[in-house]
Amino acid sequence: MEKKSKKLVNGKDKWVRPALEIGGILAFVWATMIFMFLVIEEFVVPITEDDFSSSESFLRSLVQVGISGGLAAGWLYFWHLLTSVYVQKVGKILRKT
Amino acid sequence: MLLGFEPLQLFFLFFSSFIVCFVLTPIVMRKMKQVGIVGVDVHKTDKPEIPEMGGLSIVFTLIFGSFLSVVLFSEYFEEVMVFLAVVLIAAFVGIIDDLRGLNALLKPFLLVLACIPVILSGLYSPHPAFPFIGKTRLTIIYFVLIPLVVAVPANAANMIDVLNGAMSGTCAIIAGTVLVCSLILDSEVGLLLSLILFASLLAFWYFNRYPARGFAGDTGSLSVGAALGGIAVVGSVEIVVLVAMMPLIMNSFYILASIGGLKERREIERPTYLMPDGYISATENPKAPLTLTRIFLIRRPLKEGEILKGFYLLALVSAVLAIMTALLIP
Repeated sequence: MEKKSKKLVNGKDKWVRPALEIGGILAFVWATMIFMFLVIEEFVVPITEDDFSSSESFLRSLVQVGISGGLAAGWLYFWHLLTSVYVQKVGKILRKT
Repeated sequence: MLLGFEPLQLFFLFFSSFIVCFVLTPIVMRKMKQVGIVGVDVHKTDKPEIPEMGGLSIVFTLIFGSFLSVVLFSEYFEEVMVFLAVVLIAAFVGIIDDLRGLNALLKPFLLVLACIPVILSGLYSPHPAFPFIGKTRLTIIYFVLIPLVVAVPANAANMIDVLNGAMSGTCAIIAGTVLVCSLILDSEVGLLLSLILFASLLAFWYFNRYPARGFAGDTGSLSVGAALGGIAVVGSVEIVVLVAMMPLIMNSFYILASIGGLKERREIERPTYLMPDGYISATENPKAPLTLTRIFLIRRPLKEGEILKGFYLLALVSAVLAIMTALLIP
């Protein structure tokens, strides 16, 4: 089984390795997105009328959207960073060999 | 019953859309060759001339499928017509781009216009559902984001269409995924529209797959991308479409980030080159954009067919993630 999977990665099917590596990045990015939703659910959604008076409901929504938007932007930057690190690392390994 | 639909009627819609696209595609390709609308397949050593704008058959099939679904399920008349209008506007932009070529800034701007039918009809729900959180209330933000929901997938599908069958294959997997997710999320409109798109893309992929007998052209890729965006908004399956399209979004995101915004095609260096033995290699030119194909080729040169298998595997990974996302939505 191990031999077979090794052959799949290093042997004839050379396309599997980059696909699995990039797929791994996508899966990790997805997991962080799910974590981001959990954080929003736990900390941002509960910002309710208790913290703001009814006349400040617009401000409350603005705070919620602002924090969620910031988290989403951070998540996108993380995705960008992760792929850049992958590209640089693999490039460096190849240059050394 | 499947979400209130008769399974036999759904099967009829799928099968007839598939057949229509399967019959139309070679006819459209032959016509394109006759009138000289051809493109050079740059990833083949013999540089064959392949008919362009084959994606017109997808557009015709979406028109056919939409009218058939209105006949079968008249209660979704408005939703289906809005979807069709979005596709037709994107197809029109694609036709101009294929025949005349559009400026790098004008194309995304024109694609933004494809969201007008959605906004005018008001057939969108500003309550997108997210994993764990459930339905949210994004009345103003959602309205601002609608143009992006159509223009971003359209451009993403357009930018992935660089290898034989890359756009049609990955988008067929995405449409199939949206179909499954619509069932999970009880989205009747999502199910209906993704079924038509899935059928037409499967049939088109048969002719567009490696080695391609015809190209989709901008007409095909822009309308397919806009169709996915339209399904996301009208069917209220936004987050699922976003996750399923992750490889395509990653590709366009990196191209734009690495070249510093929207630029003319002639200003962009080629990210890959064809070796004499038929292998495709990544260029070392630092000015070339970082495309998904180039990232794929960092380790070693690969044959076009091998890169495509990798693309399909990536689309399948995203499909699994999208289905998991749908299951996490309360």
